[in-house]
Amino acid sequence: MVIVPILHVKNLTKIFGDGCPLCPHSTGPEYETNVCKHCGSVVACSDVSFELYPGEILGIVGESGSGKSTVVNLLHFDWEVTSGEMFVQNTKMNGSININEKNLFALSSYQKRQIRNSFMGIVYQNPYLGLRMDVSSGGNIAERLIMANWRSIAMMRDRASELLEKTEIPVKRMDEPPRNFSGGMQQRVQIAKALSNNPLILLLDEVTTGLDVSVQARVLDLIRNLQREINLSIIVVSHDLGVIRLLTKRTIVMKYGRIVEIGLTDQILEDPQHPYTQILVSSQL
Amino acid sequence: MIIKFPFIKGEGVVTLLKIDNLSKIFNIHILGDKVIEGCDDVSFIVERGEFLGISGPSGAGKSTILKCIYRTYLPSGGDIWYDSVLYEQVNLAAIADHMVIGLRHKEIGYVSQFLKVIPRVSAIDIVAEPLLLKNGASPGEAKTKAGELLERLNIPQKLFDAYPATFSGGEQQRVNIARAIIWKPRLLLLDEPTASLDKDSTAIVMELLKEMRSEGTLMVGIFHDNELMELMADRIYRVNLGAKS
Ligand SMILES: Nc1ncnc2c1ncn2[C@@H]1O[C@H](COP(=O)(O)OP(=O)(O)OP(=O)(O)O)[C@@H](O)[C@H]1O
Ligand SMILES: [Mg+2]
Ligand SMILES: [Zn+2]
Repeated sequence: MVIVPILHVKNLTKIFGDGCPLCPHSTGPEYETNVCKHCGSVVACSDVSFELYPGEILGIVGESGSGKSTVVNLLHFDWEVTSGEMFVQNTKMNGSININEKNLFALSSYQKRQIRNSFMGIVYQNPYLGLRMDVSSGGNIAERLIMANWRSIAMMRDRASELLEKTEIPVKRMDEPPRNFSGGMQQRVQIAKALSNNPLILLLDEVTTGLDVSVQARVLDLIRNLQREINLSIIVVSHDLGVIRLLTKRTIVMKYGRIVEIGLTDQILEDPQHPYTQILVSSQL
Repeated sequence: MIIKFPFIKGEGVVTLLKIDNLSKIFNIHILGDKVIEGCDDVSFIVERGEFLGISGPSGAGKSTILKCIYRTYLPSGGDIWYDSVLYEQVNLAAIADHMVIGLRHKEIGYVSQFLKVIPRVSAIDIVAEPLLLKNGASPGEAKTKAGELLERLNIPQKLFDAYPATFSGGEQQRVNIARAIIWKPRLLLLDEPTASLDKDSTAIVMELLKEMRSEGTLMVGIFHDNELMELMADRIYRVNLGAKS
């Protein structure tokens, strides 16, 4: 029995700045920097390759600036890649557009938008990036549904209240803008919005960072339950090994834009191979 | 399913697990590349329906062996051949991580001395969860079976809906065992599962394990108590410190 990954990412690279041929050879963990000393460009991520399997939660962990969010933003087509490829294997996805065997980064921006709107969901670390703070929470969700070609107002309203219920936002507050909500509630509205189009892939960037411990717990429980109910494939970015341990079975460890280690999460925690992972794990416990 | 494993020793005797020259070395970079030997030159086989005990002095590497089989530790050398249902014959020391996840999901279980508490999940749900996720049971069915098992393990009914974080060590351990055995894994790795249990609970656990073995679960286990080990194990593999230095 062969399990086919839903997402295959190859040699993903993002350089901020003009870049030069020496960038890859002067940045990374060995050089303890992601800034190229020859041209001053920032190599946010380089040569990042991995697979995401159907129904799995994959973690990405690493210190601030290691390139975690860059990877997620690139996958969501928020930013242009410098180089790299991404392939999807899913019959549902191939139905609407023929993207089988095609490098998604090379598609037209219209096609990228189509893929993003129909199959991806994202929750940003900063709720201001994911939500319009002055539009009602229901309206935020409806906007996303419209992008995914929903048209009936009544159906969108039903869907929004269903999602808010699922993410434990009192439905009677649906007409309030997220600005009125606490940080934990805003993250839950973001999750509701991200789920609205029934994505196959959900990208979560530091969803619980900065929240109170008890609020964190509720958001984490919500993610765990959602993954179980809907067979989503999720990428969870966090600098917190506690979150990674609770949610993921496999983990990528990043430093200075490079993957230093990929492994089973329990192996990463109990038998870390890379010196950096060893420091990360030992400083957590 | 045809078993293609090459180690058939005549009528009905089939080797399902074969460990060849397994070794594990920990390279601790943060301690100036300090090298610690976990286990060395471990070889044994386990046949269908067998319980293999591992014994040896403290620090000899018993837990290390189990963790290598489960792949919580990455083996440094040697092979761990397992005749799986999912992927047929595989070397657990070498297969891809997602295949290990598949095997853990469907056929390989591990139970240690401590409950890895899942925060904010009740005892009965912790035990019912594997049936839901792995065996495709309905929620009602899973809960009923979980309740029955907890009852058999003498967990008072009033604790079913409580969070195990507040349970006594022995109660937690019984929840832990229940969660590990309820889904009837094909290969079960046990690291001192009864260490924090009293005599009566230990006897119940032993009985449950024997039932599982008779239903065909392959087991490799470490027990803190030699008497228990003799009682449970069909064969015993001895690790000693001497071989390490
Ligand atoms: N994760 C690890 N990192 C570094 N060294 C380890 C690790 N796990 C085990 N070791 C070392 O490997 C050796 C074998 O340890 P292991 O826990 O397997 O022993 P054991 O036989 O189970 O001991 P006990 O009977 O005391 O539980 C010991 O020297 C131990 O300190
Ligand atoms: Mg031990
Ligand atoms: Zn450069």
